[in-house]
Amino acid sequence: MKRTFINILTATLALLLVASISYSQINIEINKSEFKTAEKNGYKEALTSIRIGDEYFASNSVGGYSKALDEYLSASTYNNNNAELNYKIGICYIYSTQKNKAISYLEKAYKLNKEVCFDIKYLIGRAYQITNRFEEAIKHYTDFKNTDYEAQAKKLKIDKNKYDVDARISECRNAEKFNETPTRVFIDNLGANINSRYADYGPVISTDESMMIFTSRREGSTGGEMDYDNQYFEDLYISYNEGDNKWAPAMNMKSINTDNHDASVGLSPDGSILYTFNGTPDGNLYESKLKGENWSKPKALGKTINTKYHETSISISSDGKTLYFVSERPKDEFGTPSKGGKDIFVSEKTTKGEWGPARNIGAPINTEFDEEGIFIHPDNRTMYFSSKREGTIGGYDIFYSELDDDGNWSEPVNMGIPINTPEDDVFFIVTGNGRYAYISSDREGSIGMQDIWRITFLAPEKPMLTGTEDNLIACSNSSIQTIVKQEIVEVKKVRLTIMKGTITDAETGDPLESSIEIVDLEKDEIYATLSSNASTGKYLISLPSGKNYGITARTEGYLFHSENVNVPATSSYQEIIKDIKLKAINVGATIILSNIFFDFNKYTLRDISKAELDNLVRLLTVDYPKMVIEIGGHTDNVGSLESNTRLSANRAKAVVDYLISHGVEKERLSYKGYAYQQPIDTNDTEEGRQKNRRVEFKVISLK
Amino acid sequence: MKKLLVFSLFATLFIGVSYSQEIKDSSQYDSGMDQIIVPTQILTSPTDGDTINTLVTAEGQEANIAYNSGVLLCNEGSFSEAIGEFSRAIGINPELAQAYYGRGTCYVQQKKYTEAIADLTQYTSRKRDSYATYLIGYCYFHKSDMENATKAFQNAIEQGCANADLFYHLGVINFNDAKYDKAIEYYTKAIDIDNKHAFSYNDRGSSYRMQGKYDKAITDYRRAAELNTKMDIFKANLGSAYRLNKDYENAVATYDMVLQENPKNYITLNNKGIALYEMKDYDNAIEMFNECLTQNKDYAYAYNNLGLCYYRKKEYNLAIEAFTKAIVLNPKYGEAYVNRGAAKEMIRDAAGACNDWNAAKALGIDVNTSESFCD
Repeated sequence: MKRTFINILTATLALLLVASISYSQINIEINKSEFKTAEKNGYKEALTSIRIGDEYFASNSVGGYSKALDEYLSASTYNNNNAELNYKIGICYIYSTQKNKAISYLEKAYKLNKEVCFDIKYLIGRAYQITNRFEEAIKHYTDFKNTDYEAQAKKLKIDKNKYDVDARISECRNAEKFNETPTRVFIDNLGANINSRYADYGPVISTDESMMIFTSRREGSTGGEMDYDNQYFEDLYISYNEGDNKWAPAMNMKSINTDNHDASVGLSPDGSILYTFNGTPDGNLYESKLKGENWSKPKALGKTINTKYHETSISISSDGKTLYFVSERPKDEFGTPSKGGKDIFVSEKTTKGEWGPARNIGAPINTEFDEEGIFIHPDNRTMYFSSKREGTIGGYDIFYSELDDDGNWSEPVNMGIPINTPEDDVFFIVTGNGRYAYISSDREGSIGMQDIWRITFLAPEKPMLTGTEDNLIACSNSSIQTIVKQEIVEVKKVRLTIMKGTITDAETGDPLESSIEIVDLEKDEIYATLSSNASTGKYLISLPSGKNYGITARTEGYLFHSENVNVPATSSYQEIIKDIKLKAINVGATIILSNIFFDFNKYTLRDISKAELDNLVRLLTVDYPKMVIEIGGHTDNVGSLESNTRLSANRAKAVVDYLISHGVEKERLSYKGYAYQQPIDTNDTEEGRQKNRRVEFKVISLK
Repeated sequence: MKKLLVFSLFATLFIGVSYSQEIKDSSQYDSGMDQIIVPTQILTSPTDGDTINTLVTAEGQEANIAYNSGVLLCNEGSFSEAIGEFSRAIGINPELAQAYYGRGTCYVQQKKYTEAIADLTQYTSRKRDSYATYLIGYCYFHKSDMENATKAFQNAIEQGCANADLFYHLGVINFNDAKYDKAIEYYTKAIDIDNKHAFSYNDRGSSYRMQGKYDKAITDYRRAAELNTKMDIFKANLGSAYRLNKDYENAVATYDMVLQENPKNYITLNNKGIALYEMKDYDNAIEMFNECLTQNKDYAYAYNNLGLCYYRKKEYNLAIEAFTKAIVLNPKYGEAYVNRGAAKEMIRDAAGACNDWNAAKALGIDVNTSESFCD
């Protein structure tokens, strides 16, 4: 049994089940006498259309309703005054991209026959709700509530709980409330290069918004077959940002798509690991890694992540150490029972590089209702997810929660209207800079079914200022101007630095696959390790604010390259481009040791130099145990030559002493103080002087 | 006793000051302030009345005759002629204190405050008179010399003047200095002296309004409007207090009362438009602002407010057009730049929006441009 990811998410929608069960009881009866006399074969053709339509309709799927609609509309050209036919057309429109048309057909069905089906009022309410006409929806839902629908449902052997009319009314009231203060966003359809007239959803993007992978059920899917729901099997598609929010035409990821369902459910921030869901019966998560230009065959994540229960969406922290994912498992590996339905779980990477036991993330994130579509922002402090909890406006709504300094998640906040709609809103991916987000939903303006949209967050509306004056002082003819300001809403600020660039051969310019190690220098702790792409040399890493990082790039046959990146705690979002050129290991090659620090005007090595010094120890003891090097100390031109020569020599010696103390033979090491005689930048600026103050090593011989 | 005598010498006369474009004529002042006491007593003999400085001579008689003539002319409203007679009296008898007073009050009527101060000072140097001292303060007040006005008012108080108008003016001075608590204190004293002092109720209401105490403002404005039904600014202020208190229905009803009397009152048309705007009744608000602009085509506020209605209706291009008209009429209208920037933002003209917000900032408006990625 093949399962689609989207069905796992949405097939349990109460309405879908209610509708499918209830209206399947209705047969469209058409009297020949109702037909236009001019149409000789009208009656027969209408019956044929209705029969075919009913078959599609019975699939209870979006694709089936779409096809049924065509047939029913054809039948209605012969007779548009049949209550049952109008009822079914109305239902089909509820699941179409022209939802507003559902109202008129359902209203007409009711007008023609108030007893066309006992749930007609519920469906009219639903049609109003999904077209954002909440007041009218409440009215019809209330009408429905006052009927004997429970008895009717029982008679038809339908679970009365499928008609959770109180919940619907509550959703409408919530929506009315959110409508009073809509979230300030632009929502733009990504257009025909991304969206098709079929369902397109599940966008995952790299943090820098340069690449997007998504799921589509468009024509041309691998295998070319349709599933039971009359839609093509899911395939993965990829597109690249060409700048100015122009996405290149999406390409089928043929190398990893299968005849089965292949859906995108997560992407590492640097875009090098894709997480997929392939429709296996027990609903497991897979990962595929980008090597050069090729994606590896998706491999199931381990047993701490995948279980016999459904696991449906996943997100990895920017340091690659934590996985957040959604699972239906009844309890976590610590025995903590789930809150109910689908919950969000977390797994930490062990020292062995494996994913540790999953832990239910608990309240306030998880509830007795379903949680879905987890996305952890690269700032590692903001979680976006979908939930059916109380307070939504219908189906899944997008919420966010923030991690405080004590490690507690804040009470989730509904993202409001228009981000959320009365239907399911799942998959919400926010760019690194926090200015944009991507979402898939079926909303007004869709090219077809679900589409992918880009959201632009706007700053709070500027206080709109009315101009008014009054003669406040009775004896004065000068009026006094009054300015009325509206309240201002705080805007959420992202504290995140993204560093990205390309690693190339310093001589040839060829891209290099390089391992990159990010060290928190204060803690002397590895923050993250990553690799640059073998075919492009590109890399991307998110760096939380308030830390001083040492960055080391290594490729076999090349001297390692180090960089120092200090990100102040006050930094808001910024992008740092660091293109790194690695020098091949040759005699005479020199490297600046960017993460060696001394006390001011002294030659005492500071503790935060340890990571860099250990890089050097590793190079000389493990990688090149016979290499002979010279350590050179350099200063700026402040002070006398004599004092700077002495200082630079002492600093170089301090490095040599460290190396000797860590097992490097003394004979392989020499040092020299160059003072300010070999500047690499101007000494006229502080920035230049800082660059000139450095420690280098030079390869003297390799034997 | 002496004070009473001094007051008995004088009758009151309204000063015809045009307080606002909403005031149609001085006959509206059936209650309130700025009633100046002018001399009425006729000197029939050199010893009549409070004539400590009159001359018991033929010249003295001549001076008294001139003075009496001035009094009669003054009471007829012939101030220039009265001034001539008072001047003649002073020429004959420079120590005839009443003549200085008489001429001073005539100058007050003519709004020649410098001359009035000189004469009233001459008078008070000869006679201790708290009311005349108050009048000196009054003249300084109208010369916008609030420092000297305050001094004179304080002197009058020290001399025992218990005049509601005096405290009223002190209230106004403090109001204009944004010292609302002090202003309220003075207005309250004025009301304690004269509980029908409509101006004090109005201005105390305005003080409360400036403090955001709209309920109290409404009470005071309502009382002022009850005391003086002809002063439409009281009702207009009442309407605005309702509006600020978010009671838009009463605001509109009160503005309508003002407009019933004066349909061309463009300030009230504008304010009613704002109340409708706040009620989200944008179509009727637009109609009101357009009517306002019919009455005053150069009223930048109305263009700005019209723009806000279009903005709320998501008709951003029309909004930009209206804001631009407001800016053309008043290039220093910073708020209109803020609003136009917001409308430009909504049509995705980010650069234009930032330009407008930066222009507003340059005009002293507090606009956060960094969060809108303008910097």
